[in-house]
Amino acid sequence: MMLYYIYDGTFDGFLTAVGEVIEKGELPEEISTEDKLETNLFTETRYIETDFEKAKRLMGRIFKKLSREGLKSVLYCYLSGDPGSEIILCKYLQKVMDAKENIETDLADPIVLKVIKIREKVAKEVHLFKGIVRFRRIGPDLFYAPIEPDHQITPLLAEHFQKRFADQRWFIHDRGRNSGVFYDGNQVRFLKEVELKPELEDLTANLSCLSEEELAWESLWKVYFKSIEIKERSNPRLQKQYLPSRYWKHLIEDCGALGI
Amino acid sequence: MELDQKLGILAAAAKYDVSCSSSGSTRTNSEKGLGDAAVSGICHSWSGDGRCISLLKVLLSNYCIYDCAYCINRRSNDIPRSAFTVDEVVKLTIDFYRRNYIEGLFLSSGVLKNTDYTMELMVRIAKELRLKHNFHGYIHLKAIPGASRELLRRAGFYADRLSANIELPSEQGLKLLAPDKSKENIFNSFTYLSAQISRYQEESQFFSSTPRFAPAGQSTQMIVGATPESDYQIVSLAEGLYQKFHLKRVYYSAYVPVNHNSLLPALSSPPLKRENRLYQADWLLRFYGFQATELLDPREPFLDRELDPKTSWALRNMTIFPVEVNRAEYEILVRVPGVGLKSAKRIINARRYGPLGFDNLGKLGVVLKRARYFLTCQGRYLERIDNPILLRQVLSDKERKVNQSANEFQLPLFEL
Repeated sequence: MMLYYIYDGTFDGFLTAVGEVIEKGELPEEISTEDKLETNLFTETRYIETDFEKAKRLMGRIFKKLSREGLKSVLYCYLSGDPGSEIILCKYLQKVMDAKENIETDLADPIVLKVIKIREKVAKEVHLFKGIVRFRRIGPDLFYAPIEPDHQITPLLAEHFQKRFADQRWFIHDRGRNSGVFYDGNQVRFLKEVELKPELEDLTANLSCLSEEELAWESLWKVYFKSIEIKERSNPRLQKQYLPSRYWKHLIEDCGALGI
Repeated sequence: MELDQKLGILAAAAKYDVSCSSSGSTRTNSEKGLGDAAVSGICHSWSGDGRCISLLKVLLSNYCIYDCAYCINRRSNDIPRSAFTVDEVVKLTIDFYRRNYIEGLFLSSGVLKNTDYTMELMVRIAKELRLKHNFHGYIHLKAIPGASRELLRRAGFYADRLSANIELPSEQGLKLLAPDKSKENIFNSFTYLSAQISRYQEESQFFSSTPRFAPAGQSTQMIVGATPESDYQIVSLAEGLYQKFHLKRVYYSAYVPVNHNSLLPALSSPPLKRENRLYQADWLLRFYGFQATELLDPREPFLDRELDPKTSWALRNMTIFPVEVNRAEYEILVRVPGVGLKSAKRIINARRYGPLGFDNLGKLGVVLKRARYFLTCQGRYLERIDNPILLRQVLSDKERKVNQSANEFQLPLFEL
């Protein structure tokens, strides 16, 4: 029988599951949320009831074992949302708790290396999105940016944009996860299950709901984007290497015919 | 003229300036202003030539009183001309920035009337952005060679980075192709600015109220392939600039034949491969602890086209190898072909827990294809070829295969 742990998709829920693993000394095949799980005849599922106290206690113990960098790896790996990342992270935390010394830089260990690689992948996407989030002014003082990242990075973008756009209200919307971060001019709030006005659902098809001034700025940006290219050095493959085409959808500029 | 037409002309006129870096500054937002400068630099898009777009890079004007042979904006060229007003540049910067299109502004200009007049206008734009609009994003200003010290000084208070382009790697080249520019003017501005930058840096360690002066330093650019200088001259010059004036970056720009002129070489396409090798050598100077004379000398004045500069260095210095992964110091590890800065750090970290083998190295990011001939793990080679001539053959064959399949679209800059 293959044992699957099912948790509610929160970080506390995940920590509760890890706590179970450590306590019971049993290692499930997967730790997953219900919607992502594929069960069959040979799977046994166990629902993990989120226990905030337990999660908090475990977190306290993890804090003592890892440096800031190590904790960052844990957070980033959790937010990656990659299939199987929960069980990798669980094995990582087991190791961390078992070892006498801090093992976070033991890169010859396959689990430690895996966690670091996932972290780097997520960090790379966070850095990319600091650049390619595109805000569109949808109200006198409201900027809206739809994004579709691979990983759950909105919590990791909030601080950057809060510092940068301290004097405007903005909303970064992860369309795939339908969650986002809203800054009201004073503080940020994380939103789930966002309901949008229908015309915002597909802005590209509803450009008329943007002001003329906004469309003028967008068109100036497109002019700039085209004019800055050196045709003699044309290199669309290199462009795609840096900015893969799956990220082009919500950019304002036209990076080239999609599908090349 | 409409703003979009102006922008089209003045962005296209600025595109041959390579620098678009927005890194190295630490300006932070205050009093609910607009923007901050991220220390690592951020790319906002990539144009069809694969170059990163980080800043709004425009000329204030492409009218120019100079007549430099290589430059698209030279006085004698019959091209559409335009100039922004101060307000237009300010507004474009702010509104592009608010939408997260850019990290900030990179402003350069053709020389209008005279150098001071031009520099003054540029400084005014930076000043308005900072003081009137409370803008904390990145500003890179071109220091027009020959502008007065007072203007350069004021520019330093508003800009994150200042740059003056050396343009050509030798004085003869400059005299021939840019007779209106002088080496003295360019070097005077380096000297003056580097003294100011270090002065304010030093003071800021004692007084927190010290104003920022070009906190992201100075950079420059030279055109490669328009004049006959060797790579040895170019790399030695770059080394000198890094050491003497503490430049943050030297950019190399493969000459794009935009003008037809008997003084200029007739090239069918820009020498991109050479440019790439120069950048690799530049990286070796700045991050890997190499000196120019280790990479090139007057008898071998050009970088190897077939192999990257670190590999060619290694082949000339086979007595240093093999290096034992589990013992070698960081400074030696980074000199091994196929080992980059990141993989060297990872090796140092990982080997504290136990000896590493070749299967570990691959996973840590070492490029074993090259590194295997120069490394041992606990005394053992993965593959051994002692004869440098034979090894050269093997490594060039490997490189050629990669280039063929990749159609030469980009040689790796990192993990040399």
